[in-house]
Amino acid sequence: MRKRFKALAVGALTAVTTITGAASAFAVPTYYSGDNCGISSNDFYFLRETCPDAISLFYHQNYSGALASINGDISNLSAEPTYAYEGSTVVLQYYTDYVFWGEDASPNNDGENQATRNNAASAYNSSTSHSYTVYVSPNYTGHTQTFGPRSGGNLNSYLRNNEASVSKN
Amino acid sequence: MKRGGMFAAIAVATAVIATTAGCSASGGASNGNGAAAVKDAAAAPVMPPAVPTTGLTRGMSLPLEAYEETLPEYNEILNARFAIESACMRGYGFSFKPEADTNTISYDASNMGRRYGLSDPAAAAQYGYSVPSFAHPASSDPALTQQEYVVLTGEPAAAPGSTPNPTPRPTPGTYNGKAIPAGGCVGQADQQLTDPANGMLVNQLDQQSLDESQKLPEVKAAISQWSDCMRHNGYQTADPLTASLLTQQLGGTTGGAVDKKVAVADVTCKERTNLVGVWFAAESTVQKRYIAANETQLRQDSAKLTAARDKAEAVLAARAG
Repeated sequence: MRKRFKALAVGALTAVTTITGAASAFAVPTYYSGDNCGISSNDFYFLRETCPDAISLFYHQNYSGALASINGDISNLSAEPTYAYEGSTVVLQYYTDYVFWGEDASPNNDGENQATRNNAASAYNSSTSHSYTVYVSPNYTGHTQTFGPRSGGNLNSYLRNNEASVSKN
Repeated sequence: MKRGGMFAAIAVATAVIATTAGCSASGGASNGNGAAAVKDAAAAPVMPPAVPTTGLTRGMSLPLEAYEETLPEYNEILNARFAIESACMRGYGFSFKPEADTNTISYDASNMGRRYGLSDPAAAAQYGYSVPSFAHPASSDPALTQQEYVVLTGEPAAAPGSTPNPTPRPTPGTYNGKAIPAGGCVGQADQQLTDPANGMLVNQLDQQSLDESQKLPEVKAAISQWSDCMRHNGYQTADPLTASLLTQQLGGTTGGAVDKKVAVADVTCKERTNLVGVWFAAESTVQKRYIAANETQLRQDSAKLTAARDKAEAVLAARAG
């Protein structure tokens, strides 16, 4: 975990907010994250135990390289909106762009910090009871591939490098 | 998309997500389909139809779908695996009874209802690009004790509050003196019954045909007409499969007013230009060619799927008996 703490320290000193081109007119910030489990870990086995419902997407085939872990539905892996109420109005707060996090213990961290969308090659579903479906286009459109509980595999050849949204079934 | 030299931005993101966004489901915040969740809380998960019954894809079924695993088949194999896991867990004194969920929109890998992007006028007007049944987030996995987790997965559980450890750790051998199968009860299910779908050629061909047909002259012409129609409505987009991103560009929220407006224009333009009809016809031709060229493999894969389904039926019948 030494590397992760170092990253946090740099973050605390660097007041940078990155804006996507698409949303720049509305100044909605985009944050980069390797998981939506809120546990700030990049250890795959730890993720499987502490965020057990998640699907992990890997940069390389056969669950190797850096990974991103997602629990739940993600309508857009490159700009997932998060909303909050302001009074009775639902307001867009920020976007999350999922990136691969390297594993400190892994000898192969290829893909670290790169965008998950259009870069994943394999997936493992750690959930014990739910399935995950990966869609080739945002908002659950286009061709799909589904992974059952506690199973995974390589994304099929055309879905690989095209995955855009994910649903938890 | 490569991202060199953005370490500082990622570091900031890590800090912010860790401190504020890690629990985005709390404090009244919501994500993804959250806006739809507010308005359509009554929408319940439903089994998608084998062939779309509404919208522009109504009645459409592509040739390769005959070789694809259907949702009922998927659920049957999954429920049989759950039955094996459940019986295995019972052997250790644990109760574990998950059931396959039907909260999905795709009956098979083709995802026909949303294959060419949004295609249902009524859904566009009511929900925008959001999926109403997804307004109900999937439940959490059944809570497992450390002992249950170990027996189910064959992996040692992390102690609460422990820090991540290097991987992999040794597999535990026994529970209460009884040997744990390799990979736990999930491993036992793997030994008896696996779903062959992800290894089937048809799943690759299904995406390949979508990709290839999108580049055919007649489809490109229809997409161009659709794009012109969208421009007349004030929207700049060239790709029906990513038109939903217009909502974000316009600062709208998924399932909100802007989203619905864009979605209605999108589907209306598809209807006016017959984009879905043209694309479906072109892709059907492409798929027939694929089938002719790969029939032996497709049939072999279908036989594997049938065998898995038969095995699943037998497992479930034995359990019921």
